[in-house]
Amino acid sequence: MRARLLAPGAMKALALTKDLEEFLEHLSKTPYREEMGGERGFVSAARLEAIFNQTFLRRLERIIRVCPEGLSEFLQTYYCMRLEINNLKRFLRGRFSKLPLERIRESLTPLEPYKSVSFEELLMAEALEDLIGSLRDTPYAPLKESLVLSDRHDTLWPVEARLNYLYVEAVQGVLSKIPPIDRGRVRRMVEVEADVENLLLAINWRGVKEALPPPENVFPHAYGFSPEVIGEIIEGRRLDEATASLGPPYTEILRPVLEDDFALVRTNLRRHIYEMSGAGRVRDDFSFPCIVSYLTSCDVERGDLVAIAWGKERGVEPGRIFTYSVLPAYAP
Amino acid sequence: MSVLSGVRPTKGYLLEMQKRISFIERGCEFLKLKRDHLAKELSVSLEVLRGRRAKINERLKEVYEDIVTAYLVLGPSEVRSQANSIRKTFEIDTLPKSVMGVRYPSIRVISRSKIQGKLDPTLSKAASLMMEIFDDILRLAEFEARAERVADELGKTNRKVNALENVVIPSYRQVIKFIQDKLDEEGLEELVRTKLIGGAIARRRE
Repeated sequence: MRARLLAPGAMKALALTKDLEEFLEHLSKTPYREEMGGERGFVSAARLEAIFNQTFLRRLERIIRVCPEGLSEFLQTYYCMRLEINNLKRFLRGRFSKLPLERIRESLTPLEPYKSVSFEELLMAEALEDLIGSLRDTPYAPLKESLVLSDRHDTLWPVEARLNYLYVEAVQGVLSKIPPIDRGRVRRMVEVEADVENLLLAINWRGVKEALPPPENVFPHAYGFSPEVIGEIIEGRRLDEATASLGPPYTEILRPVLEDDFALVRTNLRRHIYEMSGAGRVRDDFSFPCIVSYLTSCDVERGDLVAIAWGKERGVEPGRIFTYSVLPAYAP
Repeated sequence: MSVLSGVRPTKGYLLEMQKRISFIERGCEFLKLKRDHLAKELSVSLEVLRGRRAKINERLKEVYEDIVTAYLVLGPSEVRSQANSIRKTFEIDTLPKSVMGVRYPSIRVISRSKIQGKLDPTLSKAASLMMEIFDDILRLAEFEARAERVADELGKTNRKVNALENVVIPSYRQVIKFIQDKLDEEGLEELVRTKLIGGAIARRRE
């Protein structure tokens, strides 16, 4: 299965193509030829995004199906719940701005319900109370306070922060299903990701004049540093001091924030997770570390292909694409 | 139809024509003044527009670069979803304003959406910049509408001045000259008749 992944060199070659047409031509010489089997002629970047997402989901389902039960449960929580939370965020954004139901539906990745009710049922919930009621018997029930906070402050970020925490707690709850030697590394992967996402939310709210909920209500804890740092960042502490005080790996991941380049922070985070997932294979290249590394590589490949396809459609120069993608940087 | 048809070669009519042409020439002078002011207004507007448009294009380029980066990192569907989290956009009202008698629309912003902190940080900066540029774009649109209407009015004024200078005033002058010539002719005839009659009477007395 790893053989079907695109090597960093192949990804770099795709990023160096002249335009979308040449990109499609190169892509047709990779295993994605089969994924795009039904498509003929010109394919838009939007359609390619859907194809790459479906490919990732198929690979994920295949792995989950063949894994032992405990490992399968872990993988479902680690990946499916993450995708579901992503969908939930998109759904809530659409509801928040009162978009037509059809547009909300179009923005969701097609997934079977994992931990929550189906999104069709959520779409039918008319008022906030109905929405909270629909999530009552799911792991997302604790969103109730955050939804009320969001409604009061006219912003979704308390909900998004809470979802980040719920994800970490859910993954921590299934760590017992994976080999003990791998638990520490996997825990750090999700915690670093949640911490960085929450730090980005906090940086985004620096200098906002309107009344905010108390930071400790929205960010009750951080995993890799003292949670007070988040409150200090919102209140305006100098970013270079704040990020330096976080220590590794946060300082390196967040360094671009000092130049206002938040996009590069996300890319650094993805690279960090990619490297952490690959680190386990040094010790064991057959079982759990290999599976996590493979699925993480699939996810990174998906993200890079979406970026390259969109960039080619819009005439973005390859240098820019390299800066904000992961795999081409590892090409020889 | 000749301008001279229906002209009465009388002193009264001549005086009326002279009064009219004097009025028309004064009006033409005022229109020329208006034309000159409008031309100056238009040329200043065009200079300002050129400068503003260039500045806005520069800033839009900056915003576009940030948005491209957001698309590369988040993906198109996530960026669209992020944009969905903004509750409402601009609400504006248009009011009429006037410069040198030329009416143009003036735009007033009634409300704008608050976006600070509501989008992913990768999009936030681009969105904030865009909100600042929106004000400039509205001002630019207002200025463009004003320049367009000033240009339109300048064209109309110019046509009026040309019509007056090249058609109306010459035709009046033509009529006046005709009447003057006719009156001179009649005067001369009267003079000759008087002299002839005087000569004949003097000869009879002898």
